Amino acid sequence: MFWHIYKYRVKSLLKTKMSVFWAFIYPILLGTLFFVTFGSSINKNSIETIDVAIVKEAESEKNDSFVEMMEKVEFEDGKRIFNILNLDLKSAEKQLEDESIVGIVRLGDEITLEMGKTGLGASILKEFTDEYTRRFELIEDAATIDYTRIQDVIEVNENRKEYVEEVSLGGEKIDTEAQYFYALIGMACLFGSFIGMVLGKDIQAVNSPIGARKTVSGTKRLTLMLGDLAAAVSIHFVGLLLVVVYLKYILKIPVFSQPLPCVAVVFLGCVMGVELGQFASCVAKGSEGMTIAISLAISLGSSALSGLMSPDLKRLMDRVAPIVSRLNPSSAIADCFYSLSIYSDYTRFAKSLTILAVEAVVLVVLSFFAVRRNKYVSV
Amino acid sequence: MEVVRVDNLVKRYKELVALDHLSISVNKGEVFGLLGPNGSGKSTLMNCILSLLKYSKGEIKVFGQEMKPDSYDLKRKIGVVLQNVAVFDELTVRENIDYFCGLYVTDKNLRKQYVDEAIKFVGLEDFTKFYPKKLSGGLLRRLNIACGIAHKPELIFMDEPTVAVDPQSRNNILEGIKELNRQGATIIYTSHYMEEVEQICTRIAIIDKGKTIAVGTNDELKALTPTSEKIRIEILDFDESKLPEIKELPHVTSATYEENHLLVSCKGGTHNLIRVLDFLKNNNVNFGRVYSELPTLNDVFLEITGKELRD
Repeated sequence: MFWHIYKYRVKSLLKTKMSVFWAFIYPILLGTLFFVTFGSSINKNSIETIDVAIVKEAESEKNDSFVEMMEKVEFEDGKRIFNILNLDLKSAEKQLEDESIVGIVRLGDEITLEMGKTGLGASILKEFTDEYTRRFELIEDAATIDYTRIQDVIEVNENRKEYVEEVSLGGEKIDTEAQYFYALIGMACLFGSFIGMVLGKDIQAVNSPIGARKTVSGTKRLTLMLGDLAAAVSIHFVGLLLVVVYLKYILKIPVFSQPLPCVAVVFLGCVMGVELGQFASCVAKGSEGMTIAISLAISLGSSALSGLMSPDLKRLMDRVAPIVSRLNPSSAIADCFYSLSIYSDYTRFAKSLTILAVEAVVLVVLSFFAVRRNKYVSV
Repeated sequence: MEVVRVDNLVKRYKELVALDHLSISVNKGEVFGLLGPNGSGKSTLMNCILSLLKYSKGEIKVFGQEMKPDSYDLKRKIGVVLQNVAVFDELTVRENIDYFCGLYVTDKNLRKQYVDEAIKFVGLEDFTKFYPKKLSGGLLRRLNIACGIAHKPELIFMDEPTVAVDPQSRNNILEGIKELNRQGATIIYTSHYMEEVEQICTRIAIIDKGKTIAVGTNDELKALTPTSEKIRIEILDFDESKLPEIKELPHVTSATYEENHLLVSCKGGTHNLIRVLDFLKNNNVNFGRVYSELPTLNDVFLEITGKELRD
C-alpha cells in the first residue's frame, strides 16, 4: 500500500508545475542570481594566490625566517598562498596603488604591513603576519625568562600553526559571501513547503474532493500521509541535489566541502520543508490562503533570519534571541553547513542536525494528529 | 438485512438545522434514493453516514456497526462517488482508477483485473491514456464513477453523479448503476432529478429541510397523491358550462378550462381518458392534441410540502 501511494505521488508531483518550479527551477534561478551578484568574487578570493611585495630594509634572522615561511605556506589544494615580489619601496607602492599587489611587507627592525583595498587576500596576509609576529615574540620572551622551556613553547606553537592553517588560511572556508549560498540552500529546502501544501490539501476532506475520497477509503491516514511524504521528500531531495551540483560544479561555488554530512543536512532540510507545508495545510483546514500565508511566513521569515538577506541578521539573532535562532529550521540548516566548513565543529554539527531531525519528526506527528480521526463541521 | 441505519440524526450549522431528527433504513440489495431540492440535506446526510461530518445527535450504523473515522474494515466495503469530480489531473484515466482501487485492493493481479473491469464498465476503453483535462464532462463523470466503484464495494454512495452530464452519458451512467445493483451492490443515490430517482431506485426517501417527509417505493409514494392521472386536452372554444358534467364522470376529481386547455384530474379507475374523449365527441366538442400524464414524485412533493420539487 505504501509503495502504491508513493509511486503515484511521485508521478503526480513530477507532473505538477508548482512542485517542479519550487523544487528545481527556483533555487537554480536564485543561485544564478546570487552568483551573478557576487559569486565570481568568491571564486576569485578562494583560489587565487596573493601577490605580495617584500621590501627588505634590514637583514635579520627573523626577517629571513618570515620570507621562508611565506614561500612555504600553501592552500589545501597545494597552491602557494603568497607570490613574493622583492621590490624597492617606491616600486612596491606604485604596484599597490595600481592594485597589482595586495600588500607590502616591510622587513626592518619590525615587520610592518601596508595594504590597499580590504578583501580576503588582505585578511589572509594580515592574519599571517600578525600570527608570525606573535609567535616569534612568544619564543623570544620564553628564551629570556627560561630558555629550558623553549622546546615546550615551540611545540605549543606548532599546534597553533596547524590550527591557523586549517581554519583561517583555508581560503574558501572563511568566505563570508558563501554564507548566502548556504542560506539559499536552507531556503530552497524550506520551499519544499509548497509541495507539502499539495499533500496537506489532498489528505483532508475539507480541503479537496480528492481529500474526501481518500478520507473515506479503506487506507489508514498514517499510511496515506507517510506514502505522500516519502514521495515528496524524494522529489525535493533529488531537486536539491541537482541544485547543489549546479552550484558546486557549474558555478564553482565552494559549498559542500564534506559531501556526506552535507547530503544528510539537505535530506533533513527537505523533510523539514515538505512537512512544514503539510503541517500548515493540516492546521489551516480548508483555507488555501491561510495555508500559503503560513508556509510563506515560515519559509521566508526563517530564511531571512538565517542570514539570507544579510549575514549580520543571523549574528544579531544569535546574540539577542539565541533560542529562536537555534530552533529556526533555516538557521539550523545553515548552521550545519557552517559547522562543517567554517568551524569544523562536529559536535555543533550534530546538535544542529539533531534539532532539525527532532523538529521534522515533531511536525510529522503534529500533522498526523491534526488529521487523525478527524470529522469536519462542513465539507 | 439492514445495511445502513440512521436514527434521529441531528446536524446543525450554527443556527441552521441541516438534519432534523432524520431517520432512514437501507436494506441489502436496494437502490435507495434520497430525493430532495438543493439544500434539503441529502449530501449532509451522506457525509454524516460516511463519518466525514460531525453531527449533533443521533446514531448511524453501517453493516450493523457504528461508523467512525477509523472504521477501516467498514470503509473497505464502501465505495463513494462524490458530487465533485475527485481525480488527479496529473494521472491518466487508467492510473487514476488504479490509484484509488489500490487504496482498497493490495493484490496487484486482482487490482489489474478490477481496473480493467471498471474501465469497461464505464466505457472508457478508448481513453485509458487520456488525462482528465482532455475528457469531456460526461467522460469525466464516468471516470469519477470508475474510481469510486473499481474495488467492487458492497455498498456504494453516489452523490448526484449525473450533475452537468449530457443525456447520452446520463443514460449510460444510470444503466451502469442498475447493473451494479444487479451484481449485488447496495446503492444509496442522491439526486434532485426526480426522473432519475424514479427510473433506478427501488425505494425512495423524500427529504425537505433536513427531514424525511416520505419513504417508500415509487408506487407507494405516488399513492399519497389524490391524483393518479392528469388529462390535458387542447380545445379552442370550450363551453365552460359543461365542466360540471365532466366532474360528474366516474373517478374524475376536478375539471378546469385554462388557456385553451381542458384539464381533468382523475383518482383511480381505468379508461378515464376514453371516457372523457367520448363525452367530448357526444357533445360535439372539437379538440386537438391530447395528453395523459401519470403523477410524478413532484406531485407527491407538492402534495406534502405545498411547493414544487424544483423550487
